[in-house]
Amino acid sequence: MSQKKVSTIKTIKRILPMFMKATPLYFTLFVLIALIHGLSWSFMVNVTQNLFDTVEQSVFGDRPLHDIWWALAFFGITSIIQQLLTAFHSFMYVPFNEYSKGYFSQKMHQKVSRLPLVAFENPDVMNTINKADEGVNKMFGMVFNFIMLLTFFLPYIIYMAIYFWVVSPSLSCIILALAIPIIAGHKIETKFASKLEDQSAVPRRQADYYKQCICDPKYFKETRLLGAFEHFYSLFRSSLDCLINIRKENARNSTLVQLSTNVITFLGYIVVLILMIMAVANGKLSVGGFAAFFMALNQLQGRLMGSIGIIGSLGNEVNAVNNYLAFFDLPENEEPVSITSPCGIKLKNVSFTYPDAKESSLQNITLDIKSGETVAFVGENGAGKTTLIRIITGLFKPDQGEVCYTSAPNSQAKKDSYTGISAVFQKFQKYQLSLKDNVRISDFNSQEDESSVKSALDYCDFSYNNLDNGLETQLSKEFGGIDLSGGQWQRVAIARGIYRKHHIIILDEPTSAIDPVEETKVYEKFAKMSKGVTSILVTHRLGSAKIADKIVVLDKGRIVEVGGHEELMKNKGKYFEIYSTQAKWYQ
Amino acid sequence: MTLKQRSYKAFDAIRLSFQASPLCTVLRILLSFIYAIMPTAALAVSTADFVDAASAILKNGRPYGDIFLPLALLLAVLGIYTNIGAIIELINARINLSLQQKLKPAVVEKQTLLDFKHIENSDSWELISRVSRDPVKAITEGFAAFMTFMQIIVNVSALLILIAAQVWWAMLIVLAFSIPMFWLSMRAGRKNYQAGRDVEKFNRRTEYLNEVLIGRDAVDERTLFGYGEAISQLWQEQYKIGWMHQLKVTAKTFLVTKGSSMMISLIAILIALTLISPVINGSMSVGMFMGIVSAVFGMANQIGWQMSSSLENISKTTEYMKDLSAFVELSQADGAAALPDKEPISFEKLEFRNVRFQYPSGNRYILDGMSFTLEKGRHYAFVGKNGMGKTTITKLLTGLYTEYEGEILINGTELRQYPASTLKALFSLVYQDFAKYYIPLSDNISLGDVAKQTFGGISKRELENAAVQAGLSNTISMLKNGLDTPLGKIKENGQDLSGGQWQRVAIARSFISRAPVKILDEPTAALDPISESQIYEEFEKLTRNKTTIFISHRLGSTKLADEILVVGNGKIAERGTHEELMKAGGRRRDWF
Repeated sequence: MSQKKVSTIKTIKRILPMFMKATPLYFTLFVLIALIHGLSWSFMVNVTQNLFDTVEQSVFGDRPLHDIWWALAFFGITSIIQQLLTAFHSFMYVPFNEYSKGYFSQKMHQKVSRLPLVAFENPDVMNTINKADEGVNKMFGMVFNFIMLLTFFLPYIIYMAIYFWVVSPSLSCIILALAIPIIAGHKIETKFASKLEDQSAVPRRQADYYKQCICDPKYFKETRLLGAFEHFYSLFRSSLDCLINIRKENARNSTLVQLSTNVITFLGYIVVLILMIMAVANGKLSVGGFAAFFMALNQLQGRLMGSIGIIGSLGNEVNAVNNYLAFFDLPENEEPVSITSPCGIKLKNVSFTYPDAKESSLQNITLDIKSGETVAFVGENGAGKTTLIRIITGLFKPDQGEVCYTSAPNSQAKKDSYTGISAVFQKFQKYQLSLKDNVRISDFNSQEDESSVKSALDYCDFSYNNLDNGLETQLSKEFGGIDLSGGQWQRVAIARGIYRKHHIIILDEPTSAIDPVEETKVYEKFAKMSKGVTSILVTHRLGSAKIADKIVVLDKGRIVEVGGHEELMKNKGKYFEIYSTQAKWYQ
Repeated sequence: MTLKQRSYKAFDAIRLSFQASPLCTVLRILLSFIYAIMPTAALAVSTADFVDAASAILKNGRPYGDIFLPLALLLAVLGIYTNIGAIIELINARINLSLQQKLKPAVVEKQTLLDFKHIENSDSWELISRVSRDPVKAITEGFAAFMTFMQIIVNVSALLILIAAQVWWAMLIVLAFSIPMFWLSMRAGRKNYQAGRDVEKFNRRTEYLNEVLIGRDAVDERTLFGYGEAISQLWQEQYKIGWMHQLKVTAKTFLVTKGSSMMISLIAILIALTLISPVINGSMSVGMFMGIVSAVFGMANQIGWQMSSSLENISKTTEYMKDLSAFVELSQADGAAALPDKEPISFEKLEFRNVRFQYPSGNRYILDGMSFTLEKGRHYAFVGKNGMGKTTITKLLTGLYTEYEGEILINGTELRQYPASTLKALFSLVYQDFAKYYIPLSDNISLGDVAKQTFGGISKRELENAAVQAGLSNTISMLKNGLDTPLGKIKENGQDLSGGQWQRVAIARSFISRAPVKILDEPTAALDPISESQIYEEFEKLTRNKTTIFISHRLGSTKLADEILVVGNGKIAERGTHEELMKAGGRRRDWF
């Protein structure tokens, strides 16, 4: 526990300056308002006492009557100022929160874009990214809680403690001692909550899942036609009942804890009350003071509970925040590939293994692609085609061996982003953006140029003129636009690949279910695009490979054959084998 | 608990809670009532008594014993107040759990019985998921909002009565100010709800861009195309619009809620002013003055936001109840939850006669004069481009959609004449998006013949046979507990299968089924053409002499069928054996 506390303070020390830097204005303003607001509550107690005392003394003739009016006016103005402070303080929450969340999210986006692609193959890294994303929200929560504790809760509690101390030191001690049962109760409840989470995680997941088996569109028709409703419904009911029993028990237990905390607190109240009565009897406390402080007791208890709750949540938030901070320690990308003139590619003894994989995906690949050549990669699922593409584009760095680009060196080229290579990926993205941005996204950094977007789309026979908003049409139903068919999306993806300035282009054929007619069209587009630039075509249909100058046959991470179609057919090797099986089904 | 068809209103949050747990609901209302009076009116009165007694002792030299009764009263009020909150929480938890136990299954049951068209239609599906996502939360929040609202009313009325008992005309001042204030917060609550929905729109958009920026799906394009910076800029713009909007909404809310709080403070000052003269002329005790003033000012701090947030939640509940009313209105399918017949009927002939069909949300006939006949014991293949209606045929056959024109005859009798249970027993389907049930492998397979599983039991031998036939023998030996191993990651000792293995489980399910007609609806679409053909080949071997229907968009892989039916423009465009179709030319040119 003590160790945890140290790390909480360390973390806060680390993130406070970050907030100060992110938004100095909001930060300072928020701290100031919180402080004044916190103190206004304590001040209010005195003002109330003053009012009551004045009324009492005036009624009994100890003070002139018009004093009441002054006391009342003072009281009224103070309470309205306090209301204003409350309003400002709570209102500040939104801009402070939103602004800093935006700031830290953007920092995160920048960092993600600097991560090497291979990091995304690593489940640990993916985990770190997801956790960091959650951490963004907790960052603000932690700082907010810390500021509240320091400027709002503690000053009030200290002020009240001092005030009671003046009346009677033992009174002050007892009031602070009231925090002890609250802390104990809080601890037990936290324990209950984590126990509940442990116990209920499995039945909850099961109940949710069995409900899905009945109701989710993924399962709906099959479950209905199999007549399996009863089967899953009884599974659902029994996990639900199990879950409810666990929760029932938990609810009972935590109520018991709360009630016993309350009873102890109540006993404390009685002692406080007696001490206050004694103070009144001794003349240390006026009757008005008694009423004012008695009314504030509830408030004080609320603040005590609040600060204990905050300390507890600081402990929970610190993990999420540390996740966010740890994310920034991830290693960054090596230098991206930048090509500024037509170029060939040379691979020498390249090997590559995915993180956490037992077997290597590529072994000893040596390959020479000349400038302007069209090369086809063929092979079965899992032969290593996509991995090889990632090596060639520089998205993956080989574990062994090297990749050289034989272009004229250009020292003026920007080195912080990929240039000169474009691709149409097998799993291309369907961005929920406008049609124009869907194409331009491949080369956002270059000047916006509508005519190039149009010519790229024209090239792919994508007709944008009959769309409601032309190029500005949103390609997303969710955001008030239209949805495209699979074939149309494929064309947009190809247009995207062409739009980007390139000397090398990679074309990875989709395997997902588009029908043969569409498949043929895609293939024709690819053939047209590969003319004049260095191009690599990945295909599972050997008929498409015929157009290549050179066919590379991959099997289990190795190159097994290289050559033209005729040559490979004569060799009667792997290529011939695959070709024959395919022919059997296609002819 | 069943959900009756009627128009639900926000108030039904209380009614439904009452149905789920009558005792707790009544208790909750009673306790909320007491809880509302305690911190203000009751505390004011007991404080007043106590202060008056104390000052009488101090100033007038009354005996000290006079303090005990007021002290006991004050302690009782405090004692009740501190403990009642915890009890209310327990009762809340009980109501919540009863709703979980009764309402949740009722929603699931209703959803099961729905006409299939509602599941496929995106509008009604959105309605269904909105309603079923967390019905209990919606109801309990609505209930709580009503309770808060009631507490405020009780709170204010109790104080009013207390004040009126002292100075009757003070009440008029309070009413004159508080009624417009109530009205204002009510409006603010409703507006707030609307504005919250608008902000959500912006949030969805930034969430999407965030996913593009940090998600794994887009990583290839993001890295190669280097659009991170530009999209981040876009994200920032959208985000800023979103939070500026949020800020405006919050500002308005604060204006109203804090405005009403300040108004209450003003009222409190007015009350204090009006009470001064009664205190001075002695018609009101000093203690009562203190009690009332602190109670009124204490209320000012809370009531503003409590008021508008409870009204906001009531507006939310009203919206939810509108959805719920629409949900229970949705039409149901007969026999949706029924088991298949114990014994399937024998199959002789299936005939489509000039069938026309369009989806309820569609604007064209996907089947437009479809006619064909299929006979017992033969293998058929339906091929055609995507979106031409092949899968629609299976949806009509299995009775998922019944609003077609023309006739579908099974053994000469119109399909709609058969009960759902008969159709379920007649066809066995393996879908493109076949279900991966995370239950033991044995159950996964025996679901293929639920009727037998339920009434007769399926022997282990039969299960093993089906599994082996589907090529699962290696899989079984790989699993820790063989057939009894739970699949998927739902159970802790569960094991996951690869995509290909799951496919074989779906096929085993079809093998164990005694349905006379087996349909394969592109279960292999994600595979490359070669693997697809292999699966079809195996299936064909095992179903020789049975009636089977293959559905595919690749002509090559349907070579094994006795007859191929080419679907185009909602009709059968061509029909014949593979050789015949190849010779005839026609549409096949398009296919390679």
